[in-house]
Amino acid sequence: MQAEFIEAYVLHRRPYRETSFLVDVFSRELGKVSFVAKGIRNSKNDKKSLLQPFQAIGLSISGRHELKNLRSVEALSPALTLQGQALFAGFYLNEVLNRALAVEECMPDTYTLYLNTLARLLENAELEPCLREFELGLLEQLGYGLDFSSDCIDGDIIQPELGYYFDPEQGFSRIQDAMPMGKLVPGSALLAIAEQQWNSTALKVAKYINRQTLVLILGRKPLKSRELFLQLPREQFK
Amino acid sequence: MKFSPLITELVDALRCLPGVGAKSAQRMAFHLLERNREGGLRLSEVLHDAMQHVKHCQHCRTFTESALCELCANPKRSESGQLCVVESPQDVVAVEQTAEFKGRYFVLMGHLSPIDGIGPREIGLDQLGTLLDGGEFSEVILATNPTVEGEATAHYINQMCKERSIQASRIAHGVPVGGELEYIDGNTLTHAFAGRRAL
Repeated sequence: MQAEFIEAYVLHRRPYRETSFLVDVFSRELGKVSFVAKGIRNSKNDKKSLLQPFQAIGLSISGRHELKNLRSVEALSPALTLQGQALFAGFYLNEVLNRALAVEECMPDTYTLYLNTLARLLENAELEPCLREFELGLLEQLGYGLDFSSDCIDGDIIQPELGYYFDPEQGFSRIQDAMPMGKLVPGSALLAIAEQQWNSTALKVAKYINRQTLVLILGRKPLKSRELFLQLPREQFK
Repeated sequence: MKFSPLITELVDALRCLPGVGAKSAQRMAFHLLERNREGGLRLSEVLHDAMQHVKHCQHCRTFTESALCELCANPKRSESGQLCVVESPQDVVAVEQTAEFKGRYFVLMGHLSPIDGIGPREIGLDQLGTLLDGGEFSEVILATNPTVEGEATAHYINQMCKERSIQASRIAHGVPVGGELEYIDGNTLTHAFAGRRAL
Protein backbone atom coordinates (compact mmCIF):
# COMPACT_ATOMS: atom_id res chain seq x y z
CA MET A 1 0.00 0.00 0.00
CA GLN A 2 1.34 3.36 -1.07
CA ALA A 3 1.98 5.88 1.67
CA GLU A 4 0.19 9.22 1.46
CA PHE A 5 1.81 12.50 2.36
CA ILE A 6 -0.41 15.02 4.07
CA GLU A 7 -0.11 18.33 5.85
CA ALA A 8 -2.06 18.39 9.08
CA TYR A 9 -2.73 19.60 12.60
CA VAL A 10 -3.42 17.24 15.50
CA LEU A 11 -6.95 17.61 16.86
CA HIS A 12 -6.68 14.96 19.53
CA ARG A 13 -4.40 12.17 20.66
CA ARG A 14 -4.93 9.52 23.26
CA PRO A 15 -2.67 6.81 24.66
CA TYR A 16 -2.97 3.42 23.03
CA ARG A 17 -1.33 0.30 24.46
CA GLU A 18 2.05 0.74 26.11
CA THR A 19 3.94 3.02 23.77
CA SER A 20 1.51 4.19 21.09
CA PHE A 21 -0.97 6.95 20.44
CA LEU A 22 -4.25 7.03 18.58
CA VAL A 23 -4.26 10.36 16.81
CA ASP A 24 -6.99 12.35 15.04
CA VAL A 25 -5.65 15.00 12.71
CA PHE A 26 -7.24 17.58 10.44
CA SER A 27 -5.37 17.55 7.15
CA ARG A 28 -5.45 19.77 4.11
CA GLU A 29 -5.59 16.84 1.69
CA LEU A 30 -7.88 14.31 3.38
CA GLY A 31 -9.84 16.24 5.99
CA LYS A 32 -10.09 14.45 9.31
CA VAL A 33 -7.99 11.27 9.49
CA SER A 34 -7.22 8.91 12.37
CA PHE A 35 -4.09 6.82 12.68
CA VAL A 36 -2.03 4.74 15.09
CA ALA A 37 1.37 6.19 15.93
CA LYS A 38 3.34 3.15 17.04
CA GLY A 39 6.15 3.49 19.54
CA ILE A 40 5.84 7.26 19.78
CA ARG A 41 5.27 7.27 23.54
CA ASN A 42 8.51 5.39 24.06
CA SER A 43 10.84 7.40 26.29
CA LYS A 44 13.57 7.43 23.62
CA ASN A 45 11.34 8.71 20.86
CA ASP A 46 11.70 12.42 20.17
CA LYS A 47 8.64 12.66 17.90
CA LYS A 48 6.33 12.99 20.91
CA SER A 49 6.45 16.75 20.87
CA LEU A 50 5.42 16.83 17.21
CA LEU A 51 2.19 14.91 17.64
CA GLN A 52 0.57 17.63 19.71
CA PRO A 53 -2.15 20.14 18.94
CA PHE A 54 -1.23 23.46 17.26
CA GLN A 55 1.85 22.11 15.52
CA ALA A 56 1.93 22.00 11.71
CA ILE A 57 3.16 18.54 10.73
CA GLY A 58 3.90 16.69 7.54
CA LEU A 59 2.74 13.09 7.80
CA SER A 60 3.18 10.00 5.79
CA ILE A 61 0.42 7.51 6.51
CA SER A 62 -0.60 4.22 4.99
CA GLY A 63 -3.48 1.78 5.20
CA ARG A 64 -6.75 1.11 3.44
CA HIS A 65 -9.03 1.22 6.46
CA GLU A 66 -10.39 4.12 8.45
CA LEU A 67 -7.60 3.78 11.01
CA LYS A 68 -4.27 4.36 9.24
CA ASN A 69 -0.71 3.69 10.31
CA LEU A 70 1.81 6.44 10.79
CA ARG A 71 5.00 5.97 8.80
CA SER A 72 6.79 9.22 9.47
CA VAL A 73 6.17 12.66 10.90
CA GLU A 74 8.09 15.90 10.59
CA ALA A 75 7.56 19.47 11.74
CA LEU A 76 6.59 21.93 9.03
CA SER A 77 6.97 25.01 11.19
CA PRO A 78 7.61 25.76 14.86
CA ALA A 79 4.72 24.91 17.20
CA LEU A 80 2.18 27.71 17.71
CA THR A 81 2.65 28.64 21.33
CA LEU A 82 -0.86 29.70 22.25
CA GLN A 83 -0.97 31.20 25.72
CA GLY A 84 -3.65 31.44 28.32
CA GLN A 85 -7.16 32.14 27.08
CA ALA A 86 -6.05 31.72 23.47
CA LEU A 87 -4.95 28.17 24.32
CA PHE A 88 -8.40 27.41 25.73
CA ALA A 89 -9.94 28.88 22.59
CA GLY A 90 -7.67 26.56 20.58
CA PHE A 91 -8.97 23.59 22.54
CA TYR A 92 -12.47 24.75 21.74
CA LEU A 93 -11.72 24.86 18.00
CA ASN A 94 -10.27 21.35 18.16
CA GLU A 95 -13.23 19.96 20.07
CA VAL A 96 -15.74 21.50 17.67
CA LEU A 97 -13.81 20.28 14.60
CA ASN A 98 -13.25 16.82 16.00
CA ARG A 99 -16.97 16.41 16.49
CA ALA A 100 -18.19 18.23 13.40
CA LEU A 101 -15.93 16.84 10.68
CA ALA A 102 -16.70 13.63 8.86
CA VAL A 103 -13.84 11.15 8.46
CA GLU A 104 -11.82 11.54 5.26
CA GLU A 105 -13.91 14.25 3.76
CA CYS A 106 -11.65 16.84 2.22
CA MET A 107 -12.50 20.32 3.53
CA PRO A 108 -9.82 22.69 2.18
CA ASP A 109 -11.77 25.86 3.01
CA THR A 110 -12.34 24.77 6.59
CA TYR A 111 -8.65 23.93 6.84
CA THR A 112 -7.73 27.46 5.75
CA LEU A 113 -10.32 28.88 8.14
CA TYR A 114 -8.77 26.86 10.98
CA LEU A 115 -5.26 28.05 10.13
CA ASN A 116 -6.38 31.68 9.94
CA THR A 117 -8.21 31.44 13.24
CA LEU A 118 -5.17 29.90 14.94
CA ALA A 119 -2.99 32.66 13.50
CA ARG A 120 -5.35 35.27 14.91
CA LEU A 121 -5.38 33.57 18.31
CA LEU A 122 -1.59 33.56 18.27
CA GLU A 123 -1.58 37.33 17.78
CA ASN A 124 -3.81 37.63 20.83
CA ALA A 125 -6.71 38.98 18.81
CA GLU A 126 -9.92 39.44 20.75
CA LEU A 127 -11.28 35.97 21.41
CA GLU A 128 -15.01 36.41 20.95
CA PRO A 129 -15.06 37.83 17.39
CA CYS A 130 -12.42 35.27 16.42
CA LEU A 131 -14.49 32.34 17.68
CA ARG A 132 -17.80 33.68 16.33
CA GLU A 133 -16.34 34.17 12.86
CA PHE A 134 -14.86 30.68 12.98
CA GLU A 135 -18.23 29.20 13.96
CA LEU A 136 -20.05 31.15 11.26
CA GLY A 137 -17.52 30.05 8.65
CA LEU A 138 -17.66 26.43 9.74
CA LEU A 139 -21.47 26.38 9.73
CA GLU A 140 -21.49 27.93 6.26
CA GLN A 141 -19.04 25.33 4.94
CA LEU A 142 -20.94 22.45 6.49
CA GLY A 143 -24.09 23.65 4.77
CA TYR A 144 -25.79 25.15 7.82
CA GLY A 145 -25.14 28.78 6.94
CA LEU A 146 -27.93 31.24 7.71
CA ASP A 147 -28.99 34.33 5.81
CA PHE A 148 -28.54 37.22 8.22
CA SER A 149 -29.84 39.87 5.87
CA SER A 150 -33.29 38.68 4.79
CA ASP A 151 -36.44 37.20 6.30
CA CYS A 152 -36.41 33.46 5.63
CA ILE A 153 -40.14 33.27 4.95
CA ASP A 154 -41.19 36.36 3.03
CA GLY A 155 -37.68 37.29 1.81
CA ASP A 156 -37.93 40.90 3.03
CA ILE A 157 -34.73 42.65 3.98
CA ILE A 158 -34.05 42.54 7.75
CA GLN A 159 -34.96 45.86 9.39
CA PRO A 160 -32.63 47.06 12.17
CA GLU A 161 -35.43 48.35 14.39
CA LEU A 162 -37.51 45.14 14.36
CA GLY A 163 -37.23 41.93 16.37
CA TYR A 164 -37.03 38.54 14.66
CA TYR A 165 -37.78 34.95 15.64
CA PHE A 166 -34.94 32.48 15.12
CA ASP A 167 -35.03 28.85 14.03
CA PRO A 168 -31.64 27.14 13.52
CA GLU A 169 -32.95 25.17 10.55
CA GLN A 170 -34.71 28.04 8.77
CA GLY A 171 -33.33 31.41 9.70
CA PHE A 172 -34.97 34.59 10.89
CA SER A 173 -38.53 35.70 10.43
CA ARG A 174 -41.13 38.19 11.66
CA ILE A 175 -43.79 35.50 11.72
CA GLN A 176 -44.01 33.68 14.99
CA ASP A 177 -46.18 30.73 13.92
CA ALA A 178 -43.48 29.14 11.83
CA MET A 179 -40.86 29.42 14.59
CA PRO A 180 -40.73 27.02 17.50
CA MET A 181 -38.35 29.21 19.49
CA GLY A 182 -39.98 32.09 21.29
CA LYS A 183 -36.94 34.35 21.64
CA LEU A 184 -36.74 37.57 19.66
CA VAL A 185 -33.40 38.73 18.27
CA PRO A 186 -32.91 42.37 17.27
CA GLY A 187 -32.59 43.04 13.54
CA SER A 188 -29.76 45.50 14.14
CA ALA A 189 -27.66 42.70 15.66
CA LEU A 190 -28.39 40.40 12.70
CA LEU A 191 -27.24 43.07 10.26
CA ALA A 192 -24.13 43.67 12.33
CA ILE A 193 -23.35 39.93 12.23
CA ALA A 194 -23.86 39.88 8.45
CA GLU A 195 -21.31 42.70 8.16
CA GLN A 196 -19.12 41.19 10.89
CA GLN A 197 -19.26 44.49 12.73
CA TRP A 198 -18.84 43.20 16.24
CA ASN A 199 -20.41 45.07 19.11
CA SER A 200 -21.42 43.53 22.42
CA THR A 201 -25.04 42.82 21.36
CA ALA A 202 -23.94 41.33 18.03
CA LEU A 203 -21.45 39.06 19.83
CA LYS A 204 -24.06 37.92 22.31
CA VAL A 205 -26.65 37.23 19.62
CA ALA A 206 -24.09 35.48 17.40
CA LYS A 207 -23.06 33.29 20.33
CA TYR A 208 -26.68 32.33 20.96
CA ILE A 209 -27.40 31.66 17.28
CA ASN A 210 -24.21 29.67 16.67
CA ARG A 211 -24.76 27.61 19.77
CA GLN A 212 -28.28 26.66 18.68
CA THR A 213 -27.14 25.86 15.15
CA LEU A 214 -24.08 23.85 16.25
CA VAL A 215 -26.46 21.58 18.17
CA LEU A 216 -27.79 20.41 14.77
CA ILE A 217 -24.31 19.14 13.91
CA LEU A 218 -22.79 18.19 17.24
CA GLY A 219 -25.85 16.95 19.05
CA ARG A 220 -27.04 17.88 22.51
CA LYS A 221 -23.94 16.73 24.39
CA PRO A 222 -22.37 19.95 25.66
CA LEU A 223 -18.88 20.99 24.60
CA LYS A 224 -16.50 20.46 27.47
CA SER A 225 -14.08 23.23 26.47
CA ARG A 226 -16.70 25.81 27.41
CA GLU A 227 -16.16 24.88 31.05
CA LEU A 228 -12.63 26.25 30.84
CA PHE A 229 -14.03 29.73 30.29
CA LEU A 230 -16.78 29.68 32.88
CA GLN A 231 -15.03 30.72 36.05
CA LEU A 232 -12.37 32.88 34.50
CA PRO A 233 -12.15 36.61 35.00
CA ARG A 234 -13.58 38.57 32.12
CA GLU A 235 -10.65 40.93 31.65
CA GLN A 236 -10.13 39.68 28.08
CA PHE A 237 -13.55 40.81 26.96
CA LYS A 238 -13.57 44.37 28.30
CA MET B 1 -8.89 -27.12 23.54
CA LYS B 2 -10.96 -25.46 26.23
CA PHE B 3 -9.90 -25.06 29.83
CA SER B 4 -12.13 -25.76 32.78
CA PRO B 5 -14.48 -22.86 33.62
CA LEU B 6 -12.44 -21.66 36.60
CA ILE B 7 -9.18 -21.51 34.64
CA THR B 8 -10.90 -19.72 31.77
CA GLU B 9 -12.23 -17.19 34.22
CA LEU B 10 -8.78 -16.69 35.75
CA VAL B 11 -7.22 -16.12 32.34
CA ASP B 12 -9.97 -13.66 31.44
CA ALA B 13 -9.56 -11.80 34.72
CA LEU B 14 -5.81 -11.43 34.25
CA ARG B 15 -6.40 -9.73 30.94
CA CYS B 16 -7.61 -6.61 32.75
CA LEU B 17 -3.95 -5.79 33.47
CA PRO B 18 -2.39 -3.30 31.07
CA GLY B 19 -0.23 -4.86 28.37
CA VAL B 20 -1.56 -8.36 29.06
CA GLY B 21 -3.22 -10.12 26.18
CA ALA B 22 -4.67 -13.62 25.85
CA LYS B 23 -1.30 -15.36 25.59
CA SER B 24 0.41 -13.62 28.50
CA ALA B 25 -2.66 -14.06 30.68
CA GLN B 26 -2.59 -17.78 29.98
CA ARG B 27 1.10 -17.98 30.81
CA MET B 28 0.56 -16.12 34.08
CA ALA B 29 -2.35 -18.31 35.10
CA PHE B 30 -0.43 -21.53 34.47
CA HIS B 31 2.70 -20.23 36.14
CA LEU B 32 0.76 -19.47 39.32
CA LEU B 33 -1.08 -22.78 39.25
CA GLU B 34 2.00 -24.89 38.54
CA ARG B 35 4.78 -23.20 40.40
CA ASN B 36 3.65 -20.50 42.73
CA ARG B 37 0.38 -21.21 44.49
CA GLU B 38 1.54 -19.32 47.55
CA GLY B 39 2.39 -16.24 45.54
CA GLY B 40 -0.98 -16.48 43.79
CA LEU B 41 -2.85 -16.64 47.08
CA ARG B 42 -0.93 -13.70 48.45
CA LEU B 43 -1.64 -11.75 45.28
CA SER B 44 -5.33 -12.45 45.57
CA GLU B 45 -5.45 -11.33 49.20
CA VAL B 46 -3.42 -8.16 48.71
CA LEU B 47 -5.27 -7.32 45.54
CA HIS B 48 -8.59 -7.72 47.33
CA ASP B 49 -7.49 -5.58 50.30
CA ALA B 50 -6.03 -2.88 48.11
CA MET B 51 -9.10 -2.69 45.88
CA GLN B 52 -11.33 -2.49 48.92
CA HIS B 53 -9.42 0.00 51.03
CA VAL B 54 -7.22 2.24 48.92
CA LYS B 55 -8.90 5.58 48.26
CA HIS B 56 -7.85 9.16 47.63
CA CYS B 57 -6.05 11.27 50.24
CA GLN B 58 -8.44 13.96 51.48
CA HIS B 59 -5.88 16.69 50.95
CA CYS B 60 -3.79 15.79 47.92
CA ARG B 61 -5.89 13.16 46.13
CA THR B 62 -3.06 10.65 45.81
CA PHE B 63 -3.80 7.00 46.56
CA THR B 64 -3.72 5.93 50.19
CA GLU B 65 -5.59 3.62 52.54
CA SER B 66 -5.71 6.16 55.37
CA ALA B 67 -7.62 9.44 55.40
CA LEU B 68 -4.43 11.44 54.83
CA CYS B 69 -1.38 10.18 52.99
CA GLU B 70 2.00 10.05 54.71
CA LEU B 71 3.18 13.29 53.15
CA CYS B 72 0.08 15.29 54.02
CA ALA B 73 0.04 13.90 57.57
CA ASN B 74 3.63 15.01 58.17
CA PRO B 75 3.50 18.51 59.76
CA LYS B 76 7.06 19.29 58.61
CA ARG B 77 5.95 19.22 54.99
CA SER B 78 3.53 22.09 55.57
CA GLU B 79 6.21 24.39 57.02
CA SER B 80 7.56 25.62 53.71
CA GLY B 81 4.15 26.77 52.51
CA GLN B 82 4.84 25.28 49.08
CA LEU B 83 2.39 23.16 47.14
CA CYS B 84 3.51 21.15 44.13
CA VAL B 85 0.77 20.30 41.62
CA VAL B 86 1.44 17.13 39.60
CA GLU B 87 -0.59 14.98 37.22
CA SER B 88 -0.14 11.51 38.71
CA PRO B 89 0.99 9.64 41.85
CA GLN B 90 4.01 8.43 39.85
CA ASP B 91 5.04 12.07 39.45
CA VAL B 92 4.99 12.47 43.25
CA VAL B 93 7.42 9.54 43.50
CA ALA B 94 9.65 11.07 40.83
CA VAL B 95 9.80 14.44 42.60
CA GLU B 96 10.27 12.79 45.99
CA GLN B 97 13.29 10.88 44.68
CA THR B 98 15.09 14.13 44.04
CA ALA B 99 14.75 14.99 47.76
CA GLU B 100 14.76 18.61 46.56
CA PHE B 101 11.21 19.53 47.39
CA LYS B 102 10.06 19.77 51.00
CA GLY B 103 6.50 20.97 50.63
CA ARG B 104 3.17 19.27 50.01
CA TYR B 105 1.63 17.88 46.84
CA PHE B 106 -1.63 18.00 45.01
CA VAL B 107 -2.28 15.16 42.56
CA LEU B 108 -4.68 15.98 39.73
CA MET B 109 -4.99 12.38 38.47
CA GLY B 110 -4.93 13.64 34.89
CA HIS B 111 -4.89 16.94 33.01
CA LEU B 112 -7.43 19.22 31.40
CA SER B 113 -8.50 17.66 28.14
CA PRO B 114 -11.95 18.86 27.15
CA ILE B 115 -12.07 16.67 24.06
CA ASP B 116 -11.83 13.61 26.35
CA GLY B 117 -14.51 15.07 28.60
CA ILE B 118 -12.02 16.06 31.29
CA GLY B 119 -12.75 19.53 32.60
CA PRO B 120 -11.71 21.39 35.76
CA ARG B 121 -14.05 19.45 38.02
CA GLU B 122 -12.85 16.02 36.86
CA ILE B 123 -9.29 16.75 37.95
CA GLY B 124 -10.37 18.04 41.36
CA LEU B 125 -9.70 21.73 40.80
CA ASP B 126 -12.66 22.66 43.02
CA GLN B 127 -10.92 20.71 45.78
CA LEU B 128 -7.64 22.49 45.01
CA GLY B 129 -9.54 25.78 45.24
CA THR B 130 -10.73 24.96 48.76
CA LEU B 131 -7.21 23.91 49.71
CA LEU B 132 -5.81 27.22 48.46
CA ASP B 133 -8.58 29.14 50.24
CA GLY B 134 -7.33 27.59 53.48
CA GLY B 135 -4.41 30.06 53.36
CA GLU B 136 -1.77 27.44 54.18
CA PHE B 137 0.23 27.97 51.03
CA SER B 138 2.31 30.88 49.84
CA GLU B 139 3.61 29.33 46.62
CA VAL B 140 2.18 26.86 44.13
CA ILE B 141 4.66 25.01 41.92
CA LEU B 142 3.04 23.80 38.72
CA ALA B 143 4.73 20.55 37.73
CA THR B 144 2.26 19.32 35.13
CA ASN B 145 3.72 17.60 32.06
CA PRO B 146 5.17 19.76 29.28
CA THR B 147 2.39 18.83 26.86
CA VAL B 148 -0.19 21.20 25.42
CA GLU B 149 -2.76 19.85 27.89
CA GLY B 150 -0.32 20.16 30.78
CA GLU B 151 0.31 23.81 29.86
CA ALA B 152 -3.41 24.50 29.73
CA THR B 153 -3.84 22.92 33.15
CA ALA B 154 -0.97 25.00 34.53
CA HIS B 155 -2.49 28.16 33.10
CA TYR B 156 -5.88 27.41 34.59
CA ILE B 157 -4.41 26.80 38.04
CA ASN B 158 -2.27 29.91 37.66
CA GLN B 159 -5.45 31.92 37.27
CA MET B 160 -6.96 30.30 40.36
CA CYS B 161 -3.81 31.35 42.26
CA LYS B 162 -3.97 34.91 40.93
CA GLU B 163 -7.54 35.30 42.16
CA ARG B 164 -6.29 34.36 45.62
CA SER B 165 -3.02 36.36 45.37
CA ILE B 166 -0.87 33.26 45.74
CA GLN B 167 2.40 33.12 43.85
CA ALA B 168 2.47 30.42 41.17
CA SER B 169 5.55 29.17 39.37
CA ARG B 170 6.02 26.72 36.52
CA ILE B 171 8.85 24.17 36.45
CA ALA B 172 11.48 24.87 33.81
CA HIS B 173 11.69 22.71 30.70
CA GLY B 174 14.67 22.28 28.48
CA VAL B 175 17.73 20.21 27.81
CA PRO B 176 18.13 17.03 29.91
CA VAL B 177 21.27 16.87 32.05
CA GLY B 178 23.99 14.85 30.33
CA GLY B 179 22.25 15.18 26.96
CA GLU B 180 23.65 16.55 23.75
CA LEU B 181 22.13 19.54 22.02
CA GLU B 182 22.60 17.89 18.64
CA TYR B 183 20.05 15.19 19.45
CA ILE B 184 17.41 17.32 21.10
CA ASP B 185 14.16 17.94 19.26
CA GLY B 186 13.41 21.44 18.04
CA ASN B 187 10.47 22.17 20.33
CA THR B 188 12.43 21.32 23.47
CA LEU B 189 15.33 23.43 22.32
CA THR B 190 12.99 26.36 21.59
CA HIS B 191 11.68 26.07 25.16
CA ALA B 192 15.20 25.90 26.50
CA PHE B 193 16.09 29.13 24.74
CA ALA B 194 12.89 30.90 25.71
CA GLY B 195 13.46 29.93 29.35
CA ARG B 196 17.17 30.83 29.50
CA ARG B 197 18.55 32.39 32.66
CA ALA B 198 21.01 35.19 33.24
CA LEU B 199 24.18 33.92 34.88
